[in-house]
Amino acid sequence: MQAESYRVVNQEIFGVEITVTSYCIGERFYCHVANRDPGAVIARAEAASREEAEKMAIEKATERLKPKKG
Amino acid sequence: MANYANPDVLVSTDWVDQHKNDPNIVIAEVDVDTNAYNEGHVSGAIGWNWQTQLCDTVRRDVISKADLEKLLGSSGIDNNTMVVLYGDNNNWFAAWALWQMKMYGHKDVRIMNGGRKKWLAEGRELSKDAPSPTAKTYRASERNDSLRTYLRQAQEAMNSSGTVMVDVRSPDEFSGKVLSPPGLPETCQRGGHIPGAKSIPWGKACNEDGTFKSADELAALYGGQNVTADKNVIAYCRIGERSSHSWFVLKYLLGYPNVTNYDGSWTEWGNLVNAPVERGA
Repeated sequence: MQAESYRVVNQEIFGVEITVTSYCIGERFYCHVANRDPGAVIARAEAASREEAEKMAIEKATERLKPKKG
Repeated sequence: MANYANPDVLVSTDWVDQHKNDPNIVIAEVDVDTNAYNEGHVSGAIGWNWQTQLCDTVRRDVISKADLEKLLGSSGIDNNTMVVLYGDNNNWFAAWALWQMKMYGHKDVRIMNGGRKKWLAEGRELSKDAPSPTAKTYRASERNDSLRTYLRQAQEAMNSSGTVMVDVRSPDEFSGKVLSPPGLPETCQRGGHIPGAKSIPWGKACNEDGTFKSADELAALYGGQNVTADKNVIAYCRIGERSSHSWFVLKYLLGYPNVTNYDGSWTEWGNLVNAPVERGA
């Protein structure tokens, strides 16, 4: 067993630079979203496809990064 | 390894691949993201949880001597075992574990250069099996606090010309624009930095693949800000883990003789009443 299709993509959510890392181990895809600096994971997800794992992780990250109302 | 002062403290992913079944070596994964180990890890590697196993869970402190002895012993480590640490996020918490093991006197502890990220990106073998090591007896030394800075020492150092403080957080945390990295809980009352501290974010010591930059590049990075080997250097961040990474770089890769980790860091200083704080870049 090994990580396959390892991919890192840079994006922004609410102006925050993030990295979306995804890969497949066995039959599952894993995705974690981290702030680019310092690189701490904000959200993670696991699913049967890369698209699904990325969608779930980005949704969670979006919720966490949503600007707070004053 | 790139002319480092202490090249033996690093091993490559290739080396780990070749030695992962060596019974005299224990490999331990320590991640920021405590779920990562369960996705798959280096075959035979044990997993340590920094939130529950590498600290005092009652008061804010590093792991106690007794708990360290239990953790290492139950992990199949004795005083002569070579321990190889690795983890996610370019080895943040692997460095945190190494710092603590060094405080308690473990002789042979190394870091896998590039950490989990490089291992995965290279498509190396992973396992989901949790190993069951044979327990050993571990006897830790009394904790060597000369590798650590406490608040009072940090306050005294602020006014000392022979000491330089290195803030390894992001520029936005240093300037006071944010109280914590995006998406993480705000754990201080005020933003900014310790007056006089130099801003050298920890990540500048790493290449894109997670490995450490060369000795020449590291010397230029720190020397360019007058963080030099003739000074007492105190690294700090938010909770002490990023600064243990920079501490490792300064102490072992560059060989600076007097480097400490102020693990109280900004979550301590930024909550003090009436403490001096500097804002801006």
